[in-house]
Amino acid sequence: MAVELTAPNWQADDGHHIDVHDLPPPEPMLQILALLETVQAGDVIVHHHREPVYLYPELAERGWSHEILEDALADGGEFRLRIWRGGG
Amino acid sequence: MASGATAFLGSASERLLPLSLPFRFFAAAVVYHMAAWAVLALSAGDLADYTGGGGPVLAAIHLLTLGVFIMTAMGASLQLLPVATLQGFAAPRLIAAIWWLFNLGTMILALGMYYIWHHAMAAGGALAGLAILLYLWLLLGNLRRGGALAAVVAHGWLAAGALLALLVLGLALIVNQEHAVFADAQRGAVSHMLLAAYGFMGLLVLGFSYVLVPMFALTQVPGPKWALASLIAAAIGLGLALAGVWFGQDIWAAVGGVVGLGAVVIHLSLMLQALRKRMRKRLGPAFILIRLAWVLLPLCLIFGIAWAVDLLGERGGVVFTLSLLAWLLTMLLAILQRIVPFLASMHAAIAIKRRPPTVTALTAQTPLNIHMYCHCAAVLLLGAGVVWPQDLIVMLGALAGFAGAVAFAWFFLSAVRKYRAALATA
Repeated sequence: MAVELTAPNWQADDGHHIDVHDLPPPEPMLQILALLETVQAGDVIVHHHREPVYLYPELAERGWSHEILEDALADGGEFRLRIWRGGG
Repeated sequence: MASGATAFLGSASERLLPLSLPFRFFAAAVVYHMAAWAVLALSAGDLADYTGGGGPVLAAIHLLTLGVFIMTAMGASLQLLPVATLQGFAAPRLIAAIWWLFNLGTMILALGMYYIWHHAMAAGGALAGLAILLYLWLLLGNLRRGGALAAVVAHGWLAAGALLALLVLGLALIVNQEHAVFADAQRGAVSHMLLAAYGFMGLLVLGFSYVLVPMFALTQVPGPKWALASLIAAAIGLGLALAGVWFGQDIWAAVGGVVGLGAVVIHLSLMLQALRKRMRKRLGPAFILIRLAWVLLPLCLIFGIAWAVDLLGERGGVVFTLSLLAWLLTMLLAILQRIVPFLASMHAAIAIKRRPPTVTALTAQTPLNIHMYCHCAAVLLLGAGVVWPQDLIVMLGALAGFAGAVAFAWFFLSAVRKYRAALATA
């Protein structure tokens, strides 16, 4: 893999989580795509401090779908995105 | 976002302009691209011996520099800078007003240059200048509020300074047509060109490359240390070149070119190093043009150095100017063909809240292939036609460029149509 997966990531009951808070652009996108290359099945949950809008075209190109789980940025919270392989 | 606000902008709606705003800048650039080649084809006989001054060649050059280069730079920076700086550009009405003012100014200026109407040039220059000042205000506001990518922001600051300087010089050159401002207008014109090509557009292209190339190739952003070293060398090189031109010291200008070459070597090393570590295996046709631009960038500097020390003969100025325009046009069209479908896919994803049409689906490859071949043929034919010199070859080059520009417009319209269709069926 050309980009090393360094962002904190962990497996939980609801899927594989990755935390890309505070990484400068385009590092969050690279870290998430690097994780997706290793995940065979199930959901991936992204934790971020902004909506990773530039990720969406890359997900579509790779056949992954996405859904916003939580957008609490306006209240000082975090942005959580669910990603899964296949149609939406 | 209100000016001066420091609130962190996280959601897409706060950081992104409606797609229609950047796309109207890109659409205008696509139209000016065709117009520039058409005007050059009509004035093919004037190009080889052009030494400056009003007329169709000057109009064609400004249709490219204002109409294509700055128009694209405005659209792209208004959309992409918030990502680099994590700040917002809100003021969509102001941005729409800038678009109208800049279009009106560019059209009147180009018309004035074509027919050598001084008052039209002054009016067009004033309108375009006002639009540039408003854009600068937005740009500086964004840069001032900080940034996640220090190298991109630093390039932005110097580019903004160069834009202001080239605007003042450009307006002074227009005034100089009727009221003497410069002791030697040729020096003012060359300084204006250097500030435009290497100062504003060059630094903006180099700076944005540190985020766009990694984004397109899916690779890590080069460390800021060497990127800033490249920027410092570029600034010193440009300063020396400007001083050389201004004070009539050709050797200073040549040394400035050599220092600029050093900056380019660092920049290209960083770019190639980043590409070697990329995740995306197939980079796509846009990178053929990006690589061509990376060849043209040092080449135009070498031509500039050779012209400064009088190695290129009487057509040195035209050869240097053409190589500069070829570098920037190649790079900007490469970026444009990559970001148009990318932004359309991204905005579609936000609008329809599910999987959007892919970049591949939004990209019409046939017109892009036609454009690439026509663009390369145009650059080669124009170069040969000027060096030889043969007006017929220049005209064939301009016609090839026009055909490529029409193909590029086809690609752009196709992307817009597919984006609208995706929204309609959502």
